[in-house]
Amino acid sequence: MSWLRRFLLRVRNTVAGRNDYEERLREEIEQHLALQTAENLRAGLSRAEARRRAALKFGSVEAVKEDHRAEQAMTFVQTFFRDIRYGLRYMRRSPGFTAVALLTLALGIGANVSIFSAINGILIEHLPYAHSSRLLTIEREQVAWGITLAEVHAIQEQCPAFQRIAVADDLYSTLTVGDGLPMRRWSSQVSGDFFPMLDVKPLLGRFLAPSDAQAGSAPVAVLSYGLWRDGFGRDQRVVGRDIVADKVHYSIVGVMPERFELGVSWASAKEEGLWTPLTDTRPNRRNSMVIGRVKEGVDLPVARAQIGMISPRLAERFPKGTEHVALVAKTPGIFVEPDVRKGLLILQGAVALVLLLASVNLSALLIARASSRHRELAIRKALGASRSRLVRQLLSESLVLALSGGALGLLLSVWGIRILRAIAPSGTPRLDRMRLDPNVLWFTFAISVFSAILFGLFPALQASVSRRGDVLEGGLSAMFIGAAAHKRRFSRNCLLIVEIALAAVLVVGGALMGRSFYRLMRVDTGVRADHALTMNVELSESSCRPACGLTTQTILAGINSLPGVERAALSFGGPLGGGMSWRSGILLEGSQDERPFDGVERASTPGFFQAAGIRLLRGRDFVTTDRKDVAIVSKEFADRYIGGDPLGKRFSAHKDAGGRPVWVDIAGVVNDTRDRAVARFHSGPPYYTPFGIEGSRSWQVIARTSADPMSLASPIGRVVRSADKAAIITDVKSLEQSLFDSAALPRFHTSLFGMFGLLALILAVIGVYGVTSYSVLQRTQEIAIRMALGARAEDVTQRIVAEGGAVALVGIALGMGVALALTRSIQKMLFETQPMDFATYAGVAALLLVAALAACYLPARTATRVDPITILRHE
Amino acid sequence: MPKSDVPQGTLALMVLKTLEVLEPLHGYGIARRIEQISGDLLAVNQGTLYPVLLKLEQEGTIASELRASENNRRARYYRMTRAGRKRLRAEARHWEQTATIIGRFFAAKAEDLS
Repeated sequence: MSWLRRFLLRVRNTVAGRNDYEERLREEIEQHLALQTAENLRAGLSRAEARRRAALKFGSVEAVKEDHRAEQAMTFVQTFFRDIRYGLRYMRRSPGFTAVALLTLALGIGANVSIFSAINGILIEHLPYAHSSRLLTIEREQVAWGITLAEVHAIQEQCPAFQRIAVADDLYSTLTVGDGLPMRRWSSQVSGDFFPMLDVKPLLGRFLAPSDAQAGSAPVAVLSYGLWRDGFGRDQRVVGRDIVADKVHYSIVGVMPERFELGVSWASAKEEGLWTPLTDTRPNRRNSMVIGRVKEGVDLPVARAQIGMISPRLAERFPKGTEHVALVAKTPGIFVEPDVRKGLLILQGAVALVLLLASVNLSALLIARASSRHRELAIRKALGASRSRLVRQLLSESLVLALSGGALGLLLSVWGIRILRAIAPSGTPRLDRMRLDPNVLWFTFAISVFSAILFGLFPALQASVSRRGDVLEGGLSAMFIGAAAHKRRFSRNCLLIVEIALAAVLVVGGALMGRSFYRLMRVDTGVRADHALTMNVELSESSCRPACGLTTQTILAGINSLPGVERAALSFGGPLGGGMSWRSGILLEGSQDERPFDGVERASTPGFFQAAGIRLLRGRDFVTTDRKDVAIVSKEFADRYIGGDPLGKRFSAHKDAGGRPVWVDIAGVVNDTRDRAVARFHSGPPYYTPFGIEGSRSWQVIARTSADPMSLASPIGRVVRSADKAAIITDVKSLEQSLFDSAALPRFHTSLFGMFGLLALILAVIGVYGVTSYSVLQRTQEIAIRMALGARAEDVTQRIVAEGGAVALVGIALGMGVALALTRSIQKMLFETQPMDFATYAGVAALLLVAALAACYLPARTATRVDPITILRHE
Repeated sequence: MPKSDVPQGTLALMVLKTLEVLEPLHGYGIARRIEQISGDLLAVNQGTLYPVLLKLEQEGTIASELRASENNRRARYYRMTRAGRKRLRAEARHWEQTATIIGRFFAAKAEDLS
């Protein structure tokens, strides 16, 4: 244990700052030299010679002191802090460089931290249950058909790996609180085991207990945090109050903590409403969610295997089901739309490239600057610093820079997160989780250290190499013959090439996204978006007895008579999306050939096309006397399925109960409509049928207005409520707003990619400018001599710019190659734009070349303005 | 014959062996003794001895105290501790083994290896 004893002593010495060892060594050296001198004197030397030889034999006193010091304490720690102090001093001494470096790093790190906070908040799962790693959900493979209670009982009996199994079923319910307006929320009916299994604590009151589900017990409910906030204004005494859900009065017993998400079924991506006990226990009842807690000490794969084994046995036991689909056990996960998930990951990739670019940029600047620090390092080396010591010192300086940059980046990311939240598509789940939590802080620290190594190591290794003779020789000779200078110029150029290539990749990505977005915005939607208002209405059941028709007619007439409304219509399926899809093909009368159809049927009252601004190309609009046997088709539908003159022809899109085709006459043709969001998925064309006088409970209002459409939102709402005071009105929007929203995700991706591309371009320009400035500064003498020998200023400028241009060209070529390979990954995000769009690549190449040439030209011109005589006299 | 460098750790061993024979002894004495025995073949600056002495003392294999020296000045005298003796024995055994093995390799002729 002698090393331990020594280590502890050293720690003690370091912490206590003991230096009596110094004194002791001084004494020993003195004594040693005295004894040696005495012996030399005895050997007959002169006093002076005796002392000289003694000292010579002893060797370097300073080196011994250094070793001695290293022996007594933790020099590594001490020199580290010394290096840090030195790094800070160095930053202060060259404010220009420091500012550029910090800004570069802060932008790179800040962008990374912002995007990472989105990934951390939205994609990385924080399930809010205790020991959530022991939970498994049991689902059907690929389909969401639900699992019957009988199957659940069988699993409980035959899968001993599970401690408990609970079920929940989601319902889209109509909720009312007191006299308030009804609202639509998800509610879950859960079995008694559900809350005990998740092991969470209620915010207020209690959770549901198994006894709540027994027959005869009063109906009780637990509120979600969101419902408590929106419906009850965070009332602390909410327990005991009432809420009506689907006409049943529930007494509230508790409130869920904030951020509680089931995180399992697709419904959970929306706001949860409330939880009620599962009272319907018929064995064939299907439940949308089954979740189990695995016993302590049982491995998850064992539990999964048990589910896999029981699945075929269940198929035998329940032969009467429609079709048995195998059961699988999965780790609970939060549902995120694949487009959002993939987009975020690609953005993180892009932003990582930005940081890489920033690091390469700094690396090049550091190498360029190393030439001016050459002398300092040579002197340090001459004084006995080892190479590893120099590398350590330079790396510590980089670390100081990177950590300061990281801290600034963290500040920038506060804005970054605000921007992301503001421009994120509405409906992105868990936006409020995007914040600087410990994960994000660790990430910031890690990427700061990582970037310090990334940008600091190479220049440090290179700067620390110096040959003997290279040391203090300066001036002209070093300018022309210094091999090290050549090597530095080479690696600097390599870094510039990498930098320009990275910038090219990012700018190409941004440009492709921009082009795609431009095309998306120019899609002809086929509607007149201005001065049009839409809203979804769902009538209460009571107003639809015996049919909804009377109520809908009253409402439509009321809206049409409002001042400011030019024309209003009701429809099932809006002008841009929605409708009914029959899972059958299109059959043209007189033909046997049923063609597959992926479009929809939309139902509308007369005036719908006028209200939406859809042009009637041929034939007529619906009239109130039309029955279900006429249709108006879109132009694309007519071209694809009918052919020739469509008017008067008959087609069928579905069969009646007896299997006979239901025929409709084509009464008119309207122009095509395309939703921007849907535009990317190429769904089939729609056809329209009359919105029957029997009406239906839920439909959309579309009104063409003469005034600002939103100003009519409340008058129209009043008309609806005067006919049915329990009607639910949602999604009140102008058509313009709907169109804007439908492009939200592409807009989000495009603006971020655009920002990153711009950032990359700026960084690359800074890099090229900075490196050229430094190299020109070092070549002042060379330039002065050239000019003294008769070179004209233009020649010198041209030479420097040409050199930079060559580097830029290589970088651009390399970048284009990499971009060609990488942009495949964003192909799915592009609309009517090829990832290999030639014009984009050519444009980006030209832009980068011009930027690089400009960045070289400025410093080159400054250099030729110097007076050769002054420079040469200085030598 | 050129002077050879001292392999790491060997100097510590030499110090221990010297002290085993001649303790207590001051730094200069140890340096002189190593010089005499190695027959001036080692290229050691005498100064390098002192960090090694400090290290050994921190490890607890040697101890030091202040005494009057032959020229009547205060000098630091070093002596072995029990841990030092133990370590010296262990290291000596290790060295002998290594030397024997290496010696055998050098003594082996081509036919012995075939």
